[in-house]
Amino acid sequence: MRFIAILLLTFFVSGQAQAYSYAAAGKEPLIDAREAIFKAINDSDYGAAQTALDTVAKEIDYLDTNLDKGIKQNLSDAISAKDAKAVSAALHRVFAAEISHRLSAGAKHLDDYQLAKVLVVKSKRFFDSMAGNLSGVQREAAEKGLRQCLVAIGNPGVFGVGQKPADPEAYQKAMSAVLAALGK
Amino acid sequence: MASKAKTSQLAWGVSAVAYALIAYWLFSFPPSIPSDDAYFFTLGVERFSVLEFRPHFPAYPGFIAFGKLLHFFGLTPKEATFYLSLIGAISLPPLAAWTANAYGASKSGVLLAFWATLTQPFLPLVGLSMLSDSTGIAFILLGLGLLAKSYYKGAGIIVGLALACRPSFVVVVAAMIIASLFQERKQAFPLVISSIVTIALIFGWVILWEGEALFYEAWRFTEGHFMIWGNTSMVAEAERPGWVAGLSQEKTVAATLLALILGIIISIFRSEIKSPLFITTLAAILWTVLAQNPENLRHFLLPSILISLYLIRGGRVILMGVTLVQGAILVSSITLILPPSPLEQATNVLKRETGKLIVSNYGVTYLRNNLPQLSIADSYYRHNASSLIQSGRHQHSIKIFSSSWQSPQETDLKTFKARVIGEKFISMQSIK
Repeated sequence: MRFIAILLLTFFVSGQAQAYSYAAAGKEPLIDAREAIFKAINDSDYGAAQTALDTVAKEIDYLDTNLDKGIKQNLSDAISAKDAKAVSAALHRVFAAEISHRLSAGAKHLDDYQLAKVLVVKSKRFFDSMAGNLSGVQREAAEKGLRQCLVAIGNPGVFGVGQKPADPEAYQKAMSAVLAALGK
Repeated sequence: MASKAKTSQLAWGVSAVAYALIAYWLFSFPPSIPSDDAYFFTLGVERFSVLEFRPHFPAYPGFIAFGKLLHFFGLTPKEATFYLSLIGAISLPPLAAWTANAYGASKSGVLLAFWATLTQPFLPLVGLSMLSDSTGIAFILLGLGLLAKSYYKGAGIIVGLALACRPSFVVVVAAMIIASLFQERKQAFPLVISSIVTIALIFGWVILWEGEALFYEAWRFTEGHFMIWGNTSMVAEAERPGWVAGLSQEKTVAATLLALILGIIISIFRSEIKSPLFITTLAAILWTVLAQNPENLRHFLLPSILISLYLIRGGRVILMGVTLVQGAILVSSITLILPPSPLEQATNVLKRETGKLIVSNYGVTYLRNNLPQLSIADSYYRHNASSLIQSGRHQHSIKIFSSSWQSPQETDLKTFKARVIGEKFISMQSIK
């Protein structure tokens, strides 16, 4: 009976669909919180923005301690001041720090191709979710840098075929280009 | 006797002419990218790397390998992907006829299978989609035919190739193998082993190539498709389009689908329901309805072709009626204007714009990679997009909107119409 109900629902349930995107990130707390904060500031509900920020307190704390001192205060202040532009700028800073965090970790693990690749690819997911806020020129430069990061991590190949060693210097250069494009 | 042979010859002659005309029409379209998924395939043909969306998960290694083969013979990645998808689609009517023959259909039944497939309303859509559906369906039909002819080893290899081209057919292929085993237990070994070896060789290579990072992407994709963005029946959000909404713009096509489903319900009482063809058909219907995105009507092609094959035995009158209606729908949809895809048309128009914000619910990766002068927001992140519009950073914003189940608005700046039945239109709306 339950099966038939699901089948019927499948046919008839309808509503306003969001975009369908294979490229969308999976469940990612920072990306989800970012959306929730934007929803709150669009509704001028800064209490909800603070609540959404609280869900990622751990992640923001980590970035504040290890990547970009003051980032936490910056975001809290912007929300307290009910300044939508400042909140948007602070979120940009958070995402730039998160991308920097992943890419720097990639630089430290260039001897582990799989890990380095996941880190770069993951940083691309964060980048894709914020790329709408960038100008075309910034986006192009950052994407080019990310592509070069992937080339620089090399490739172990399959049974040695297609093998290419990592190039730490090229990686650093590409990472700097990404961060420069993001204004870091 | 002689007149019967002559009638048959004439019927096949007419069929060959109709087939050639439809093939000519489809091959006359310029290769053009209709969606991000198609774009990912062209990137995959150029250089394979699933984590980088070249192509997206689940890798489609068979489809990419065939694409690379065409690329090797001098076609560009775009042409290779386009013609591979089109060749796959155009091979379906003769393959359906061959499969019907393998299942012991009469001469007229074989002809009916050919016409029922040739007139499928979504066949042109699948052909021009630059996606792997058509090659996957071609191998499924070939596999079914080989099973009917008791070539179990060959069938195992072929269904393995079907999965390599279109991994989402896994439930359909599993149903096909299990049903065959119930029918012919002695052949379990060659069928199962040959399919497993084929799958293991192809996907084993992908795992070796991508490494364990592939499993990270597999989790992200599977969770995303079923639980977050895929609009499947498992998505918790109540706001998702159902199949009725999906088909609301194609009412006559929906009627033919309904007739096919009614046909199969009626024929259950007359035909063998434990046959591999029936079980495979049932699996294809349920899998499409429950696990596929109602925004993409092309998913109906596989179940529709399989139902047609099944009805040759148990519901021929219904199938003939449906085929006639389908034929009329298809012929009335043919136009002699052969534009590029709506996505490429919209991109070409936007190439002339500067300094604007584009908010799109479709083809975001393609737009971003082809319009480096514009800010492009993904309306999947709709609150971010709204805040960008409200911020006033851009003097002008344009919304790109695509849907297969909603109509363009009169207030749209421009609309790029679907080229074939079931394709999504793209409209440009000005946001002040």
